[in-house]
Amino acid sequence: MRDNVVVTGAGCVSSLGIGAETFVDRLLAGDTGIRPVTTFSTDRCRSHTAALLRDFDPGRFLDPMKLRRVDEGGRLALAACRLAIDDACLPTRTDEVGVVLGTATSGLHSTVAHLHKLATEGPTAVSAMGFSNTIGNAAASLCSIEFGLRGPNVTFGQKQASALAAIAFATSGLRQGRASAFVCGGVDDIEERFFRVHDRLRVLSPTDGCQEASRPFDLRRNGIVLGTGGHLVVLETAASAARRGVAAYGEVLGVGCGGSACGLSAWPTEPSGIVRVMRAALADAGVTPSDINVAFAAANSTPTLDRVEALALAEVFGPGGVPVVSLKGALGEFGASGGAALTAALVGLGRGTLPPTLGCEQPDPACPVDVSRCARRSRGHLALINGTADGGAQFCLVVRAASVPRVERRA
Amino acid sequence: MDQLLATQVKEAIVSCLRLPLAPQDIADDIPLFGEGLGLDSIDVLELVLGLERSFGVKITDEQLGRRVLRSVTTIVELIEQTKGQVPATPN
Repeated sequence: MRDNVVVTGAGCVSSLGIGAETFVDRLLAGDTGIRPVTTFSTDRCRSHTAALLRDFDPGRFLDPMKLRRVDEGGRLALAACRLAIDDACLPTRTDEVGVVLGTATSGLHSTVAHLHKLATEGPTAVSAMGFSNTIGNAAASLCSIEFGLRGPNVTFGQKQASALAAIAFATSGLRQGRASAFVCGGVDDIEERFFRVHDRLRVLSPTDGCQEASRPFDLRRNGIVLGTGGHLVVLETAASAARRGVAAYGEVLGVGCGGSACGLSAWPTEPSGIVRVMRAALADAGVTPSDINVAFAAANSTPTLDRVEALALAEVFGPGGVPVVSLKGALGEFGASGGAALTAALVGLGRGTLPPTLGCEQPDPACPVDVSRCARRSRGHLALINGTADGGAQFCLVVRAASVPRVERRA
Repeated sequence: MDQLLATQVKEAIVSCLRLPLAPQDIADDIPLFGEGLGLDSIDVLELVLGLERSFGVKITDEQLGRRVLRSVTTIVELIEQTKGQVPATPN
């Protein structure tokens, strides 16, 4: 019989602040992480906003002599990893704990700096240490090195679904006995060129010259707003958590993975792939659609994905059959969004509250779902979390929040 | 010791290793590695390349590296010694 997989810690370095409780407090209060970009110039861009880090001081988390060798993605990963480990009271320096990180952009800051040096000053000017940061798995490796986590170390690059891919893989790894715990989730930081390329390719709101905003499922949605943050959790076998005597935020009941085989950078144009993966996750969890109390959608304010995902949700749950939330109205779109959704689901439902879907003011009739536009009471503790990457990779989790919030049980 | 050169060496060390301190905080004779400035083996490669780029000195083997990369003073000595070996450019 397979062991249950529980979430015993969460670490958030986010556009809503630092720490899981702060993140969820502000999310439920309807705060947004999206604001005008100040970290670089957006001159000659059509878009000028993003969800930017709030209150993040990397020096709080890492010795300055180490910090000098770590780029933006690594800093996010190390800080979120430390927060998650501390929150779970997880032992470090062990073979029993691994790291599974999802990221769309880790290494990009260093790659851009490295190539700039190479092009402008030649090969003798490039930094040897800078080069090692250009590799996509640097952030996960840094977490392993810093905390002595010698279990499996894996990095997923599944674009917007990266964190959910990491969590799904870690869940499978725990079930297979590959480790007793994983620090897993996602990290992404916005690099200037990354922003400008997305702006130039007209992926960002406003794609049509209308007002810029992230508006999942809204009639006026016109493209994504980019997000930033590190959202990691400690995923652990129930047996390990029981041995250590730690309370869990909740449980991962089921995972589903699949694809839509659409264009390389295109969103799925029909719902069957998303439907199939949701049904796989529900079956893996041993629950029916009617058991689910909320669906955290991948919907990201793009005309296509929001409509197609809404059709998929309607097919599985029935039209308006389940409250639907998208956090991307508050957090923007990024590779760590699945980690953010997992924390929001477990901590939020643990408090009995669903977060709002910011930006959805005029629900699109072409999206036949019951969008939870304001924070509201939840009728139960089961959530489904979708992650869709452009290109069609699809992941889904079914999770259950603990019926008594962890903070109260600790007290 | 040439104090101007010592200052330039300190600036190069801080810059190429991205140290979280000011050049003037580095004493001339403080050990660069281990106890002292706290540099480690990963810094050696960057430092050797940085000194070559900034001052034209080549540290070609480990033995020379151990002797030279002790402190700012020993680096300055190598640079001065190397300068002395460069034949004067005819006008």
